[in-house]
Formats: sequence, structure tokens, C-alpha cells
Amino acid sequence: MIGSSAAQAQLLAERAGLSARLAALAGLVEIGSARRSTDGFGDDLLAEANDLLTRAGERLMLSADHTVVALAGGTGSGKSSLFNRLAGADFSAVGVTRPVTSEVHACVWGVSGSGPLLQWLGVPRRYRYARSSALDSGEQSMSGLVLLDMPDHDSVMGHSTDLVDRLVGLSDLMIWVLDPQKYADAAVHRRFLVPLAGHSEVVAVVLNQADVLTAAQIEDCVLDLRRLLDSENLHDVQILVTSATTGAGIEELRKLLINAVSARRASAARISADVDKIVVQFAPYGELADEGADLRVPARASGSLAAKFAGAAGVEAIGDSLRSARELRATDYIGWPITWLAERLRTRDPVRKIRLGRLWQELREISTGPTGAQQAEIDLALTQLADEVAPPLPPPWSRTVRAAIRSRADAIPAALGTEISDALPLERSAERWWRVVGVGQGLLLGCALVGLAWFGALLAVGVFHAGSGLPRLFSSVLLLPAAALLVIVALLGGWIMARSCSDAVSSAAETETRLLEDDIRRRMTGVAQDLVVAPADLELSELDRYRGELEVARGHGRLEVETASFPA
Amino acid sequence: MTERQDLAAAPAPWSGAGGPVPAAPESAAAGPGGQAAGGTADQAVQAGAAESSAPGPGQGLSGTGWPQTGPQWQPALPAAESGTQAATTADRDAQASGEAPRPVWARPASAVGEPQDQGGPSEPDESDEPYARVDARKLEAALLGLRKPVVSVPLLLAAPDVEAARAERLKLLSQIDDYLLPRLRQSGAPILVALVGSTGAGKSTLLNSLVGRQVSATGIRRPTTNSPVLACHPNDMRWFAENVFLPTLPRVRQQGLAMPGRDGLLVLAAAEGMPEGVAVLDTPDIDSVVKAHRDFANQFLDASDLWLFVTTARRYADKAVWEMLKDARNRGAALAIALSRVPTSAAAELAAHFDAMLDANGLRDVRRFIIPETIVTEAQLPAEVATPIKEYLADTARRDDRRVAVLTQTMSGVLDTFRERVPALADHASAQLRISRDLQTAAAAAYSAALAEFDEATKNGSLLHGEVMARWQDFAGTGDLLKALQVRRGRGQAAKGKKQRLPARAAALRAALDASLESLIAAMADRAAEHAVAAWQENTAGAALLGRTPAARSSETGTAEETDFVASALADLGILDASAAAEHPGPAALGRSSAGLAVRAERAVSTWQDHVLHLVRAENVTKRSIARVVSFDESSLALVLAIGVLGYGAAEVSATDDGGEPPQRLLTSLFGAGLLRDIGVRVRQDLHDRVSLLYEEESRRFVELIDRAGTLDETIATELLQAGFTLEDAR
Repeated sequence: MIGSSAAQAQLLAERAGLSARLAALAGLVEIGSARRSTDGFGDDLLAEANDLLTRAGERLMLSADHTVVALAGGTGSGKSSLFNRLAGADFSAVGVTRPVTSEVHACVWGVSGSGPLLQWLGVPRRYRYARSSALDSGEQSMSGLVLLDMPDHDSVMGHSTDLVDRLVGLSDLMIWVLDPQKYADAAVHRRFLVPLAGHSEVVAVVLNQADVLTAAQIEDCVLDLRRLLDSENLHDVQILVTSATTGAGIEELRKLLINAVSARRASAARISADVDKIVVQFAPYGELADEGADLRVPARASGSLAAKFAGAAGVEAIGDSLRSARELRATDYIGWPITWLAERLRTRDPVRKIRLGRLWQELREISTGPTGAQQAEIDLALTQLADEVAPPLPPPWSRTVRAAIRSRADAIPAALGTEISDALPLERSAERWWRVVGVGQGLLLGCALVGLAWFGALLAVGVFHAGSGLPRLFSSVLLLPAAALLVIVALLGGWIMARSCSDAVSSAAETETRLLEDDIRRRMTGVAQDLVVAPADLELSELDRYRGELEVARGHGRLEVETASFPA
Repeated sequence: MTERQDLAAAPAPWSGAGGPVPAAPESAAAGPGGQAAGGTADQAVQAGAAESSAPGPGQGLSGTGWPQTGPQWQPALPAAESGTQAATTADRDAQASGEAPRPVWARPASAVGEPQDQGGPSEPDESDEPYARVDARKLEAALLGLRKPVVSVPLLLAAPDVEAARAERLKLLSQIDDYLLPRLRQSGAPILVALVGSTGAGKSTLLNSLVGRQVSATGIRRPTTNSPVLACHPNDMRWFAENVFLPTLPRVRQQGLAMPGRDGLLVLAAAEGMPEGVAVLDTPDIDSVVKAHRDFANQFLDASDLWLFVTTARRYADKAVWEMLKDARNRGAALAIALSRVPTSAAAELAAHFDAMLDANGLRDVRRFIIPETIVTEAQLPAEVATPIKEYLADTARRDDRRVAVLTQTMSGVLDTFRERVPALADHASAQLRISRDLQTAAAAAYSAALAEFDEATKNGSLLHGEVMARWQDFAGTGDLLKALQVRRGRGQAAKGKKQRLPARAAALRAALDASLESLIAAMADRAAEHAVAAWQENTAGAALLGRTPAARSSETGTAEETDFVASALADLGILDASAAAEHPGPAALGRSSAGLAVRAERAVSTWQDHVLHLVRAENVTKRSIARVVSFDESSLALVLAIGVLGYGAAEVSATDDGGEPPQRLLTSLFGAGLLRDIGVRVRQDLHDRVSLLYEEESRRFVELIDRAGTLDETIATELLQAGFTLEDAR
């Protein structure tokens, strides 16, 4: 019963390969189920795949020693007659009025272990026939065959069509029984043969009732049938010509069955063909326009996204504003008081004039604070990124990746705001050296005032002799130039100090601003990475996984399938 | 060619109305269905008597030749119908009991001389029957009146069932054009019998047998008949040669023996063997893999007066067979059925089973023939097998009552179906309008939602974030704001005041404000477009409109022309618009705001800014407010006003000095709360109006997409219903 160990090893390897493919298919279904939609992973496809997985799992668990062969065909094509011929007994009723068979009949060669299988197939107990006794009488080679006589699929008694659909799905090898009158019927071709495209290995076609035709007519008929099958992508399907009435061709049919049974791989081949067929439907969702493309958000795109975030958050404006604030505040310390005085005196401050002193104060106090960004600009940036990343992807993925890119869009402005406020330096009232300079400016101003007073005193006492008895220091006219010099030097010094210090403040502010901007940009990149690129990459990695599973499910390099399970 | 059959040829004692047709009036009354047959005999006699005074075919429909008979085009013609029923019942009984066939149809003719008035029960009914005479011209006018709206029903949007509706429209048109109108205009034309049935049932063989020579090719390949063959007597040929019968179908006259015609070509075969007044059409099968054949067969069925349905002993339980038969029953077509290839041994059993099935499907009254499995010589059945059918046909053609009965039944059947089909088509027409409205509403809703969001964003201060805020801080915090508001004194200042340039920080702030407004407009437009596309995608018609790129469209029409031979006629009528659409944006393009939006948004924002400036000037805000004491730089003031209005909500405008944000308080201080509220509302309204215009333009892209599909006539549904009523009225 059991062939050589090598053959068995191959059988085991084949089954292992099939298991891997089925596992991969389960993976595809799992990934697809999370993304079911109308533009991909439709409910029908997923349901079909789930059905197949269930069916395949069940079939593989059941007897591997049995091969289920279904005799299917239209009403009146002679399925039951063939069945009886093969079984060697009149198990299934034949008749002239149509339809005759409305229940499935099964004949088993080699009963042991077939019970659960028949149960699974749903063959009623009273329609199960055993040929175990025949095993002794030369039919040993057919041991393991479960032959099903199916009800017709095209009669008005609609109840049997569901049964046929189910059994066609479950059987390992399908033999379609056609007759010269009905061989081109749409009912069998449209509904059954066309969907079985790619199953050539587990499908055979029998042209029954050959006895009503002449040899030339048979040839013509077979030729036409072959053309029809070719047009349905069933190229290698074997066509047998039989006559249940005369017994012609029955031996060939029996041989075909024996081959299928002894190879014991029809069940795996059937499931494999089913997987092939359904994987083809999954394939478009894993196809990339550019097969070698790296499935990640390109660094350039995420970089430009970060730049747009920075723009939306107004990084440059924040920098400008920080610089302005520094300079302005510094001016209070290091500024040349004379300038300030002159400003105050020269111009009339309108705000002050309209008694808005408090507001004036407030406006001055506005400097830099957390600002966040506008949702609209963020949205545009995300749309642009999605337009760059999504379109090359197959339908459902382009949508899911787009969704992933936007998944946290609402959180982005707030995140940007937090990052900016973290980046901004604490509001330091003043640098220490500003104070020193401020003191210096004060001293210089003091010097100038002192010098002025001295000059005035010298002028009054020394020139106009307004007073007397004063020390020479205040009376000597000769000291006038010195006093003037003191005033001039003090004022000039103050001016120079203000100028040079404000330059220093400017350059310090410049440096600080640059550092700040860099820091903020870095943080923007982080936000873009965390809230946008990471979810998108996650989705893209799912696509990558999908493609991997698809490759396995296709069976590339995993399962070596021989071209024919039974000799032609 | 000879088909070797299982069984030897056998004469058909059980075949329908076989054998010669002797006049045997008493047999009908004596049969098991005696009472019914007797009752109808009287009516049949009346009809027969009337016929004797009737003018020849060709004028019958005008009604002038029918002084007192029942309505010709009434849905039911009691005499003829019950006559048929009685005959078939009797015939069936004869078959079941194995009696010799009785020549039922010959009876009334011979009974003309001696009317047997024993059928009292049905007579009062008949006399009560309103004799609404049908004016053929009125009916024709009504049909033409119906045809017009049917042609112009706009089935442009891909509603879920639009394909069915289009097919239904084609079917209606083909029934009107191919059957009803020709039949009305030429009532004298031969009765057209369509041989329909399963592939391999022997339709062609039957036709050859009826004709008496091989006019249609037979063979072992399935399907055999690719091109239909119409056989009739040479004298009748004129009816079909003209472009009256199936005007859209190209035809060729058969020369010599049966030749394999090209697909879709009607072969006309004149044969002396055919009885005059009847033409038989051999149609392609209904159930083979070649779908075009099914459509073809259906078209012929629509055009024929009598269906002769042929199926076989192997096939009679096929679903396809019964679908066809139920269709025939539902449309009330005159029908006869032949069960062919019946093995002699099981003939009785099969006939009984088949009859039971017919009964179960409400086809009890149908005339049924049995053709035994027999030797076919020269592609013909033995003469005795085909004779009953031939006789039946000849009889139908010869006898005016039968003729009228058949014509009436089929035409009334078709017109009856119009009662439901025309309103159904009208429903489709209104559904189209509804879908169009729904789609437009969906697009408009998306954009009005976008506009609402825009308004919200300009109200709740969310605009004052990001760069705008930073620029404002820079502008206000550094005192540039104050400087900008300062009085500018000095020579020439007043003169060139209007030309003043904004300080750098103010310019940056304004640029930032403009940019953020523009991106808000663009983002909202994007979102609206996306939502509109998503809403359309959910609708099958919308999805089809979005998916209809020029390429897809041209291929659509291309395949339509290939597969549908009626389409060419329709193209002439302007139903299938062959003109290709102009450049067509796909869903990807529609899902974004249009390319020109950025430019338009920029223009809108800048004109709005100008408007604000204009308002500041025109309203003399500086004169009317506390700000009069100082003069301001108007550009800066306008900018501050814009920031204030957009950045802070309308509710806060009324805030006092204590509340609100600095710009708001500054503005309140400058302008006063009342004036500010007034200006704020106007400024915001102006922006709203401009953006609303932009969005309207955007949403027009969607409307254009609908318009491009074609114009939807709003009144067509009503017109259809009206025409339907008129037709009912004319009957």
C-alpha cells in the first residue's frame, strides 16, 4: 500500500510546503482583515480565503490515504451510469425522467479510516457503499478511492446546486461528465469550469455517451471541447471518451483513478491549486510599481516634512523675536543713556499720550513664548508627504499609509508647541555683564555729570568769580579743559561702550538664536519622526510583511510540484 | 448527414396534433373535456363566422372589417383563448389515453354551417365584454409617444442597477421597434414563429423538416447555429426583405444550400415547402457558452409572434429551460413546446413527467409536441414526425381566428408587461435625478463644512499660532508696533503718507498672516475635496463618475459597440454618446484642491487686506475714535486690525481694557468697542464671502463632472408615465 520511502519522503515534504503556504495565506488574511475595504481586501475575498483555510485544514487533518473523486456533470450526462460502471454494481439509480440523482452517493475502496472523511463530505450514511470485498478481487490498486456520484447542478431542483458547489469545493479530483448534447452548456462552463482554471492537474473531463456518435463525430466533438477548455485556461485537462452503455473507455477512466489514488497527492494538489488561485487575487495588493523600492518613508521626505513643521511653527520668526527681545532688553542696561533721553524728549509716544501706559508695558513684555503651529499648515505638509509616499503603493495600502501619516495629525500642533517652549531659554532678566556694563554706563554718566558740574563750577568760580574761598580745584580756569575733557571722555566712552556692547549683544543674540533655531529644528524632526514617520513606517513594514507572506504563499521555491499527478 | 441514434425511427402516435386533419366536430364535444370544449365551440364558431366577412390580412387591424367581434388587441380575447385551452386540454387527454389525435383546430371551420349552441356558461361573459375597438393608428401614435421618452431616459449615472435599466431600455425599444410597431403597421405580415431552445435540441433539424429541405446547418458541435435562419414561403419574403422587420439587423438572402452565415447575420431562406402566412426563425441557443447567442435569441423572441420552444428529453429539467419558459409565461407570449429526442421506450413516462412540470409552472395550457429520438436523414426528421408541428403552424397561419388569437395574445402580453415596466423605467429616471442631486449635495456639503471650519478657525484665534504669533510677538514686543503707530511728523510726511512702506517686522507679520490664511484656505479646500471624493466613492454612481477617465470611457463605448448590435442603432439615436469627454480629472486630482487655487487664494487674501485698509480709511476710524488725537500709519493699523479681528473671537471684541489679549485691548482702546465690533463683523464677513466664492468654484468641478456625463431631463419620468397612460388608453 505504501510506496517507497523516497516517494513518501517527497509526499511529506510536499505537505510541509503546503502547510507553509497555508500559513502564509493565513498571514495574508490576517493582514488583509485589518484593512478590509472596497478598494482592496473585499469581504468576498477574505471570506473565500478563510473558507479555503478552514477547508484545507480539515482536509489535511482527515485521511491522507483516501482520494476523493467527484463525478460531476449536468442532468442526463450519465454520471450515475458511470458511477455504477466503476463501482461494478447498481448503487445509484438511473432513469429517463430528469433529474434522477438528488443526493450524493459515495463508493469507497478500502474502508478503513474513511468514516470521518465521508462524514466531513456530508455523504448520508445510507448512500455510502463499500468495495472492501472487491479489494481481494484485483481492485487492490484502487484502495483509497472515494468516488462520489454527485447530483446534477443544472436542473430546476435548485436544492442540489448548493450541494454540488460544496462538494466541488471539497473533493480532491473532479471528473466532469459531459455528453455530446450538453458539452458546451453555459451552466457547467460558466459556473464550474471557468472558476477551476489553473486546476488542470485535478480536473478531468469525460465525454460520455460516445456510443451515440460516430468515430468522426467523436473526434470533432473532442476537438471542439478541447478548444473550449483551452479558451477557459484549462489547457492540460485530460479528456476521456467513454460510454457507460457499451463500456468503452471505462478502463482508461479506471486507470486514471488508480493513478490518482496511488500517487495519494491529489488532495494536496487540489488545495495547492486552490491556494494558487486565491493568491493570485491577493497578489495585486502586494504589487509595487518599483519592485526594488525601499518600503520606508524616504529620509528626504521626512526631512522636508520637518522643515515644513519648522516653517509652520515659525522657527525663523521665533529666532527673530528672540534676538529682538535680547537686544531690546540689553539696551536697557548697556544703552547709552543720552540716546534714550533724547528719544524720550524728542518724540511723543502716542500710546503714552493716550494713557495706555500699562498696555505699553505689556506690549514691551511680549517677547517669546510657546506658540505651537497652525493645524492648516500641518495638514498641508502631511498631505504633501502622503502624496509623495502613497501613490506608488497598491490600492488599499496607499490609503492605509495615508491614514497612518495622518493618524496623529491633531496632536502635532500641541507637540510642536511643547517642543518649542522646551527649547526656548528661560527668561533671564539680564546677563551679568550687562549689569556690569550698566554700572559702567552709570559711572560714565556720573563722570559726565560730575565733569559737567565741575565745568560749571570752574566756569562760575574761575571765570565769573562767583564765589571765593573755594579750593583751586574748582576755581582754576586752567582746569576748564580738563573738566571739558572729562565730560567729553565720559560721554564718548559711554557711547563707545554702548556701541561696542550692543554689537557684542547682537552677536551673542545671533549665536543664541542660531543655536535655538537648530535646536527647534532638531526637535521638529523628532516630532515628525514620532508622530508621522513612525506610524507610516509601521504601516509600510506591514506591507513588507505582506509581500513576504505573499511570496511564501505563492510557493516560490518552497513547493516543487510535478507537472502531472497522473499520466496522460 | 445521418445521425445514428439509439432508437429506430418510430411513428409518433402520441405526438401532438399529428396526422391529417379531418373535420370531426363531434369528437371535441365527446372528449373528456367535453363541457369546456363545447362551451368554446360556440365562441369559436362566432369568431369563424366573423372571419368569413373579414377582409384579407393587411386591413384587419383598422377595425373596419370587424363589425361585431371582440376586441382584437384586448389583453384577453375570450373566444380565442378559451378555444386554445380547450383544444390543448383535449389534445393532452388524447395523448395520455393513447387515443388517436383529434384534429381540434379543424373543428370550428367545419362548424360554421351548424353552430352548436350548447356552451351557455361563457356566452353572457362574452356579451358583457366591452367591445373597445382598437384604433391601430392611435395605438401606433401612443407607442411612438412612448418610444420618445424611452429613448431619451437619461441613464447616465452608474446607479447600482443602471446596467439592468439600460438593458431594460434596450429591450423596451427592441420590442417597440422590432415587434410592436412593425406588427401594427403591417398586420398582414406572416406570423413569425421563433424556434428557441437549448443547444442540441434539434431546432435546426426541425426547421429543415418543416421546410422540407436543408436551410439551416446541423451538426455535432455545440452550439451549432451561429446565425439565425428565417424560412418562409417565397410569397411572404417581401415582409422580411424590407427594412421593416428587425430593422437593425443585417440580413442576407440564402442562395442554394444552407451555409454557415456570419455571426449576427440573418439568413433569409425562401422555401416552397413552407405554408404561406407563417415564417419560422431558427435562433441560436439559449444556454450555450456563447453569451452573444443568448442575447441574440432574446432579441428574436421579442420580435416574434409565437414561440416554438424546443427542448430534449435530457434537458427538460434544466434550469435554463424553465427560466426561459417562465419568461414566456410572464410576458404572455403565445407558446408551443416540443420535447425532442424522446426515447421511444420511455416516451409515456417522459411525457407525463414533462406535463406535470408544465402544470406546476403554470403552463398547463400550452400546446406540447413530442418528437421521438429517430434517424435524421439529410438533416431532417422523418416526415411523419414533423407533420403535426407543420400542420399546427399551417393551421395557425390559415385560420384567422387562430391567427388573431396568437397575435393578440403575444401583443397583449407585451403591452401588459409595459404596465409595470414603463413605471419601473420612470423610477429609474427619477432615481437618476435623485442620485445626481445626492452627489451634488454631497459635494456642496463637503465644501460648506470646509467653509464653516474656515470661519471657525478665523474666529477662535487658532490662526494666531505658529509663525503669525511669533511674528506678532516680534512686531509688538520690540516696539515696532508703537513706532508704527507713532505720529510721523516732518516735511513731506503727510504728502507721501499713503505710500509709506511698512516697517520690516510689520511686513514680515503681514506676510506670515497672508501665508497662514492661504494655507488655511488650501487645507480646508483639500479636506473638502477629499471628503467629497470619499462621499462619492461610497456611491456607486459617484465612484463610476470619478473613475471615468477618457481612456476607460473610450474602451467602454468600444466594447459596447462590439457586444451589442443594438448599440449602433442607439448611437444614431444619440443615446450612446460617442463623443469623447474632454480632459478629465481622475479621482486623485479631484481629491485635492485644484491647481489654480493657491493663486486664487493669494489674490483673495491680498484683496481682502486691501479691503481692510480701505475700511480703515473709509470709515475714518482714526477720526471717529480715541485715536483721533494722534495720527497713525494706516497700513499698520489695518494690519493690527486684521490680526485683532482674526486672532481673537468676536465675543472678545467687546472686552474691556481688563480682558482680552494685548492687540485686542489696543484695538479697543484705539477704536472703541462698538466701532471695533462693527468693523470686525464686516472684515470677517468680507473674508467669508471671498473664501466662499473660492470654494464655490472648487465645488463646481464636481458639478461639472456630473454635467459632463450628460444632462438629466427632470421631466422625463413624468413624460414616461404619461406616455404609459396614453398607451393604456389607446389599447
